[in-house]
Amino acid sequence: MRVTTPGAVPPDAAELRPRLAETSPCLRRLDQRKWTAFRVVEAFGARVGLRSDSAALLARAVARCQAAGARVLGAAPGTTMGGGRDVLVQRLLSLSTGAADAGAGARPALALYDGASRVHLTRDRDALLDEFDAALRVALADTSPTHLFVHAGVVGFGDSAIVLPGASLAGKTTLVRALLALGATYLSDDVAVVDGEGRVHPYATPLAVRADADSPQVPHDASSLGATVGRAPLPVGLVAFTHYRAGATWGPREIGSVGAAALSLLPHTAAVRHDPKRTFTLLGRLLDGALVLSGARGEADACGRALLRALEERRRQRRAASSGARTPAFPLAVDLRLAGSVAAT
Amino acid sequence: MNPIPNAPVHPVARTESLVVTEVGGDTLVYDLLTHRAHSLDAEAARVWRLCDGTRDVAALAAALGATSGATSGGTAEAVTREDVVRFALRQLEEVGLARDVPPPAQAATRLSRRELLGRLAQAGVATLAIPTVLSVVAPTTLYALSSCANRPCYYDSDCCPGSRCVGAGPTPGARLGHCK
Repeated sequence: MRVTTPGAVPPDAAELRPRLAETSPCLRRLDQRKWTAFRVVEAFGARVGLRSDSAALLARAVARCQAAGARVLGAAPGTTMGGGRDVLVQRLLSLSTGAADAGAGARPALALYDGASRVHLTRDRDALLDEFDAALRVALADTSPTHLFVHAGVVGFGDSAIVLPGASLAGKTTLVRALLALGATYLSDDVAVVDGEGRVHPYATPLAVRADADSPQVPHDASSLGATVGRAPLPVGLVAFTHYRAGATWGPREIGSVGAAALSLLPHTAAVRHDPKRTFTLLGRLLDGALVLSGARGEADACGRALLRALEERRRQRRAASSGARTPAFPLAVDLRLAGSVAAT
Repeated sequence: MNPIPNAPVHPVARTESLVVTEVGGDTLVYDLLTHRAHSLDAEAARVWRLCDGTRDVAALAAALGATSGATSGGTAEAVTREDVVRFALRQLEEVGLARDVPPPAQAATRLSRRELLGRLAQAGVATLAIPTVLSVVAPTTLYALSSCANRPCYYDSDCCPGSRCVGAGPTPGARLGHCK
């Protein structure tokens, strides 16, 4: 996928006006507001329209899209529909500054709409844009005809990816940061985008770093943390389900069954209700040949080191298997115990 | 009409409103009615596919032996294979993938996985695996991808289940808090 350089918008992109194929009375009412800035972005085969009553606010939203790997559409041949400048989109996100609604002296409330539904109301622009990130992710996940979205942190290590599925507050970002410090490349903090071959693509939005569990998340560019951002899709070598437990040592169990591993991923997987067949197929391809581990972890650094060792060991086994050499069974537990990362049982 | 006591029961696999995909030797089944996903290992999937409404448990056990390539064992092995079939049927019925499943052979003996393993060991049957059916509820896209933590909120109801809205107030709607 071609990635537009952040800030670089095709000169005629503003000419395109996004519209949904179907409308409703509520959407028509929303359409009548004074929208002054429009963009159409495309990523992973999905097309999302953006509009705002503030060009500056829309520019910041577009920058967020570009960080996620989306490109801004220009009015190139084939992108216009119905002979006009309207472009059909699968989702339409509207950012309102609320200036038109605010009474005299009242501070306007910013709002985010997904289609005709208001999904967020705030007085803080950064909070609105954070919510826009989430709405964009959901829009792409819902409408991408080619890619599958899994709630997970992802790093690259060598020629394969490590996928860390988990809900919020499971410690994904902490573990991603630990792996980056150990030399991994950054692919995503929050979502694994899986293509038809089961490879994971970069979705390199800023890491949402939280000082502690009670603090709000603060975005950090991976490069500002000294990490390299991956640019190419990678096959998955390791999937690790972890959750932080103070004082725990990383003593994972291996999930050997592809079906069980797929079911473990499912609670973190978008669009399964829309297209279960494709979801199952792509999860199967993602898991094909991957080592899948699950367990509680203590400090992220020790767990990160153990994960990298486990991935190296899996690679060594696969190389040996492909060269026809006989190899012993996967000695994960032995290796980790030698490294002092597994509690004696 | 009440069923005839002790009459043979012929389990039937449900096939409608299901999406079935094979991955890595397991069978993934998506139930379009309940939005639950199931993973059937090879043994459970074999039993499920054999439930065509024409076979009772004994016939299913015999067919299972034939499809798994086992040689005809003794009586003990046949009885144990029936236990395996009953165990699989019970799981399939619980997740809504089979109906007309017979009750356990003896009311008090709903075999656990461990007990079944013990029986297999006693009978010296090494070729039979314990059927496994796993299930989860499929999430909506929003639920799967949402980051609940730190979401701005006025009320607890603005947050995901299990999270609370902190820092809002002092009167409702006056100041935004965040989900924790």
